[in-house]
Amino acid sequence: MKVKRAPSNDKVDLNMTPMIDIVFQLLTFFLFSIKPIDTEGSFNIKMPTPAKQANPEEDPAFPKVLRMKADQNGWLASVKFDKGDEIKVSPPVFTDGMKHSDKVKEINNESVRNAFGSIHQKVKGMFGTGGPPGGAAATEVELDCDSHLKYNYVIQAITAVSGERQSNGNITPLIEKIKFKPKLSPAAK
Amino acid sequence: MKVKKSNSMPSAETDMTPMIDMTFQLITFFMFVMKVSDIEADAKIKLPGSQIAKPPEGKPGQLYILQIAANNKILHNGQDIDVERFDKMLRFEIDTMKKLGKDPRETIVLVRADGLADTGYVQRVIQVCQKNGLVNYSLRAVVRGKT
Repeated sequence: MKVKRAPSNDKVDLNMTPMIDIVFQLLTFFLFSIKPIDTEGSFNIKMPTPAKQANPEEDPAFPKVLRMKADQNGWLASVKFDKGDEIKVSPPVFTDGMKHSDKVKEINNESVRNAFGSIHQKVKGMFGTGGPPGGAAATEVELDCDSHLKYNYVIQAITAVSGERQSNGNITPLIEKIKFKPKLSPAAK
Repeated sequence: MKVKKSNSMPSAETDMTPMIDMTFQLITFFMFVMKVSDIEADAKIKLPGSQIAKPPEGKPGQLYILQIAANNKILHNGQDIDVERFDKMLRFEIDTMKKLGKDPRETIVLVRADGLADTGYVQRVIQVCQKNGLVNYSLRAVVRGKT
């Protein structure tokens, strides 16, 4: 005997509410937990324990000295590269309620950028005709900084001497051998 | 005259599908964008910026992370420590490294120093590392103006 099936018009309603609740909670979690991280880069330097101090007049491989003096607050006062002239730098001026990003801009103000810019040009010029034998790879820079100088300027100095970013994003290396002067200058003590 | 109301009420069901689709896409986006850093970067440290700092390529080898805050203190496991204590801790860690057959000369010291820390202090900490046989250093900076 044939059994007739009753035509089923029952709609299966799925209750979406719990799923939507969970999904929105997940979305809120990600929105709040996400933290934009600045891309970090690095300067790789090799610094073994310093050997006996060589005499700059006798040793041709003696490093080029980049001298950075600080004012009483630790801001860069002047910078001198090798036998070049001392370049004076004006200290940053902060106003009340200044944002961190604006403070960073002020620390690296125009006079700081110009000073390191001219050192960068000098380093670039060194590797043209009449540059040191072996070029950039054989040259070493020694950073002679006042001890209370803000570390930010060390990175700016390394940036100025160690390379240049081209318009296509590639980095042309300059001097990559960088070290700190082992003995601090009298002003630093 | 009496007007008869019709019994069939128009259903006010909204189609949730596009909204759910979008929400899932957003979740997927955030899941992919969320970067779990391999370096325990302390938010207290504001690194100086540089145009030519090279982002690390490939998997770094043996790293020793050194974090120096603006107040000239070394940050270690969320604690501020001074150079003397750091020296003792580093000596212990180097000894452990040697016992495990690792060469400290192959270790890269990742220096994450705040832009407002004193250079002399950073140098002093580096000298302690040098004294303990560490020779490779990587000075960290935030990559800026990548054009």
